[in-house]
Amino acid sequence: METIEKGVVRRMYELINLGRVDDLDEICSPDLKGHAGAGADLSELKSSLNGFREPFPDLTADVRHLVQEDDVISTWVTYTATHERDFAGVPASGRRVKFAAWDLVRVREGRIVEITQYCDLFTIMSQIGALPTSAPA
Amino acid sequence: MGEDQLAAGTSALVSGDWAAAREAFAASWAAAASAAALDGLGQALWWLDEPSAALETRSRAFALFRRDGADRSAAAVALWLAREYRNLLGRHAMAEGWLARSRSLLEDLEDPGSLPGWLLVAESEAVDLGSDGERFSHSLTIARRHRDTDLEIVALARRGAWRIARGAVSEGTSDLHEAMAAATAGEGRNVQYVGEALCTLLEVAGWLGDPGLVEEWAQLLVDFRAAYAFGPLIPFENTSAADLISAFCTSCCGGIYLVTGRLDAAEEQLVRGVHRMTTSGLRPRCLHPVAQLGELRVLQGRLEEAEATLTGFEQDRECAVAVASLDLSRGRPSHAVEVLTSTLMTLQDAAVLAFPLQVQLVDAALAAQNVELARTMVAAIAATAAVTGTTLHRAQVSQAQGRLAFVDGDPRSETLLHSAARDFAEAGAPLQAARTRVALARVVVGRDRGLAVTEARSALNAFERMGAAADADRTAAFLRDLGDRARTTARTVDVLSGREQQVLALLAQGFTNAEIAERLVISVKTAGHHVSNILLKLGLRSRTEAAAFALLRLPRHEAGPSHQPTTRRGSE
Repeated sequence: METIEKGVVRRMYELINLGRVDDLDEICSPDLKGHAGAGADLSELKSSLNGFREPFPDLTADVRHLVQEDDVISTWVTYTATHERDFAGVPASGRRVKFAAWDLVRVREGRIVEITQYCDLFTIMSQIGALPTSAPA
Repeated sequence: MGEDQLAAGTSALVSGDWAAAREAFAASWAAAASAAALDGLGQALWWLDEPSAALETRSRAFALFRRDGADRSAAAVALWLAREYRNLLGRHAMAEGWLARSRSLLEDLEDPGSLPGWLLVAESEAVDLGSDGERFSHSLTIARRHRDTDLEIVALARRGAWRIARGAVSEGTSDLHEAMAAATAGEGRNVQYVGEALCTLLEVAGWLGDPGLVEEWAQLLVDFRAAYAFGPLIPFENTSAADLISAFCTSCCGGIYLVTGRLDAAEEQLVRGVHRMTTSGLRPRCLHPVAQLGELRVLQGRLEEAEATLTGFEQDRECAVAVASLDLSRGRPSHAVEVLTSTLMTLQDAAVLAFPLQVQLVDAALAAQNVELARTMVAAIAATAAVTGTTLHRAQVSQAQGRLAFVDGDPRSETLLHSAARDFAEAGAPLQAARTRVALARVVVGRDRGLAVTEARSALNAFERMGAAADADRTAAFLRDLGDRARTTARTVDVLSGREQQVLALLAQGFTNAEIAERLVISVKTAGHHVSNILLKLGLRSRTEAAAFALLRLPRHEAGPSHQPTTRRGSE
């Protein structure tokens, strides 16, 4: 069942896919609280997302699961992208990456007020060839 | 007593026990002040790495031989002194004096043996580059007639180098291999000349960029060292040819490391070599440490020091490339052109020696916007490389042709630079390979920005690894112009404070700011502040990227998953 909260979260991934990170203002509370990968507040969330789009300009989120309980939405997302610029000191490899991410989002009154993000960093690093044991991506 | 000691000293010299030889000759000299004892002492001192004392002692021996009427021995000593003053100390006036002395002695000798052959060698060395190769052939004939294998080895080695310098690579190589065959078979009486042959071989290998020329012989020397005493020529612990070459070369200078891109090792050896040269006057035969150190300083971007090192040597033929490098780095390409052009005038018959200067003149001419001069030089080096056929020369020609093609707007530029980079890598010249990659990046940037960034980044990494600071700076600036954040490899966790490193380690384990704060007993705000600082200092965009960075760069015990958080309270 589609809800307002789920719609807000889906809109967030659309904006990410469109590269319109600044437009998150439309759906985020200015007092947003962030945790883990998302950073501590709205501006850190934006710079974190931009920080991914810079090395991986074609970053695309594919929402695999999206479940809700009260005002909390949990998502399972698969991102695909091309490693086109330096990431964490690893020069652009041109390789395609595909990795899983998990977000927990609280939506109140149509706006995101809290967000926690984790992604499968190990897989990213492996796929861009930064880990010694990595198989070709 | 003195006679016994003399015999003991002579046999110690032959077996390469230099310390015993010194002791025996000194004892003999104390018992009876003979010319032979003093002369033996001088030879032992030379091997014991006290060349100044050796030259002085043998000079005194010369006077005693003369007093005794032993003119043939005196002439032999005079010839040795002439060669050492020139080749080891670069003191040409002293060398000329001893040469004249030996010449007049030889004229009066009824049976000079092979000494006229040694005179020919010494005279050829007096002329820059021994411009008359016939003298070597003549002295070789004398050596063979008198069965003087030492002279044969030296004459063959010198003629080989002379031939190769003029582009007669196969004839010259054949001479050098013959010299090494005689030297390593233990035919020579004096091990000094085995060293001379190996030194010449290394010098020539350097011109051609062909280490394969040396390796087999070096291996042979290593294998034979037990049977034949090489003394300080081969430190005993060496077991491989590569060890031997580096031990042998670095005992005089660090030039070999410049080629292989180990600038830190080169610096240490060259600083020592220049110091030795200024304090003892002793200079290595094969390479000029001032020239090499000057070039190294330019590579390191330490231009003031390069200038200071090269001061007083600007007119030295061997320093021309270093002086021109400095000029190019200082933005004085027309002066570089001048230096190289005038030095090349003295090298008109020595194509192989002229080669590195001509290669650099291509760069200088392009920088001075003298495309026609660059074109002439490209043609000249292409002709030489066609004769020598070595990978290094081929790489340098493709590189120069690629640069020129770029200026001409010729699309072959990219292919040429590609193959140059590959050949430089194959020839074991990583610095040149990296420079070629930068040139390639500049060529392709208009068509394929991504490729340009990749090439430039790979070069930047190589420059930073080698310590080639000036090239690294230029490449980083090029990358910045492309909008790429450069200098990634220079980032290390060392720029972080101890506290920041702790925060980074926790962050890398997936802790939130609140969890980090709790762990470190600081406020959440302070934890956030540390995270911001970490990102700023390391030039990272997000904490996820910081975690990725930590995964690669933090020491294992800090980044490892050994301290899993007991609670996950991400959304609290």
